Amino acid sequence: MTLKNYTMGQIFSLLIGPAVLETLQMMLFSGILSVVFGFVVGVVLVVTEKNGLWPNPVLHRVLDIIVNIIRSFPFIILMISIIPLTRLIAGSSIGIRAAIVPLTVAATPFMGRIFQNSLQEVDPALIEAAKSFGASKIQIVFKIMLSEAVPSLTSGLCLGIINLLGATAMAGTIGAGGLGAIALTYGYQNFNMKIMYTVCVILVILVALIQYFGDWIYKKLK
Amino acid sequence: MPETVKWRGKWNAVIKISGLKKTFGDLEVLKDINLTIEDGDIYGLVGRSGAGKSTLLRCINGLTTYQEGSLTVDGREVKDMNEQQLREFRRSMGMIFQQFSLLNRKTVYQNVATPMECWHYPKDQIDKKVRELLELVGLTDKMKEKPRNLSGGQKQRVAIARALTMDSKVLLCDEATSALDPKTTISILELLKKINRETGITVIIVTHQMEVVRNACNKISILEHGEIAAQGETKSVFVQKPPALQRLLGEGQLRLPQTGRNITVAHYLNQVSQGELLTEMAVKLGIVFPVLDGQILNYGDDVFGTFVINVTEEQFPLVANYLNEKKYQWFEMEQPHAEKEQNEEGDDE
Repeated sequence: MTLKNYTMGQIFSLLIGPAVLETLQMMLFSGILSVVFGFVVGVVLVVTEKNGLWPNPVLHRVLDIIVNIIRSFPFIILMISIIPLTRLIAGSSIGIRAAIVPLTVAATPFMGRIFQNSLQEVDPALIEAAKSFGASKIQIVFKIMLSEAVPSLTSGLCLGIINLLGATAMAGTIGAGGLGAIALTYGYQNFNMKIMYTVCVILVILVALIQYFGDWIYKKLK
Repeated sequence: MPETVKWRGKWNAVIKISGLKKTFGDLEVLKDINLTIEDGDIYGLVGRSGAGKSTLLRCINGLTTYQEGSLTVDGREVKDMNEQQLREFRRSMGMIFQQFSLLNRKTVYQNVATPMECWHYPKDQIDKKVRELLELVGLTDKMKEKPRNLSGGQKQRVAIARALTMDSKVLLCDEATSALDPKTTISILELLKKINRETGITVIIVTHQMEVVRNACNKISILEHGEIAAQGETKSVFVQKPPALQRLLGEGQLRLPQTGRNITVAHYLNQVSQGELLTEMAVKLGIVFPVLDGQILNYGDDVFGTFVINVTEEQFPLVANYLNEKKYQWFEMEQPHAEKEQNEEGDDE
């Protein structure tokens, strides 16, 4: 198999184009899932804190440790070490569907910390004010804390999504497909610098677009 | 549950605090607080930072709890309320804060509407109430603005409107004017007085600003290191100038002569000017006496003058008689040696 017979246009339509789609799919699904799970983790971390709405030091500590453990794994190691879990959930350990599992597992603690940090930044005086007019704890979380944290959440989550993009490329090395796989197998391993740098440029553009979009939302919401 | 419904109907905003104690670990924040706030009062809790006044205020609406003693509102012990009862209770008590505590991402209108939304009032009722209150605080034209586009005084007005949405019977003000300039402070106080007059709401003001209590409060308690150091009607406390007040005002303690007797006389300036009163007394009684101190003070709308004179033992009955006859308010000052020199500068926590 040689790529020399193909024009750049063909390479784009056969390899890079589908790979971009695959990458975007991985990002979208694992992004949504990790934001949802991360939200739960972040909120639980904040409300169970010592001065939180439902102080629960044990739960807080346990969750905190789990988050730290998952976050200290290099992604590629995490991905390999949870292959049994991936098989259990996705039915396979290769392909996009399979990649979404480790991507979500890895991104959830990160997103959780982003939620935690943003929610912690909400002025405690605001929470006190909400208590002073008799808001329930649930209302304080949703109507006060989340609502106030939205701008810092958007910029934080934007960072998280960009991180996720990097992780999808890494997932490509062990059979997830996507841009990472193309850059690695067709670029690096085939000594085809053109393909490799093309993928790099596409990744740069993707990151810039995500960042730009995130900044735009941030400004809108602030 | 009639217990929780209680705060929706008619009730008396009588707040009785007796023997109240609060500790944070080993630190005694409040020690043996006793005071009564009547329905319709504008009550001032004054003291330096760290004196425990904000903590005391938070005990009143249950934002913080206390270990000993009792704090009842219309006969109900705040400490004994459960979570749900506390929410219901707080619904009928507004609170405003030094840093306004508004939701930055919501408009003025939405901010004022938030408490009613939390209590699931119907939309039209919320709309009516919010417009009514914004009218009261004079911010109808700022309805759609975000708090960041408002001045400090305007923000506090929004906070006041928010605190009044659910027909509060009590308004708690935690250093509500401390972040404002003097002119804005006065306008906020005027607003609070107006609301107090028109709705009969009980207002409790925590502040370290003496001009605030003098302008607005009818009764005050001075807190020092978690204890009440002086208490009473604002006028009489300012006239009698107990040491706690002197320390708070930052004035050096008056050096009273050890001989003779020292008398403080207080009077409204619209009755008679200070100079006239003194000369008249001197002439009528045919005596001379040194004037140690004289001051003109504003309390709310009254202009008040006080002065301190030193008279000999022989002159004392004459002067006392004269002052009683003229119906001037007066009292004898404590002898200086009875009052130990207390210098508590800088040991606030």
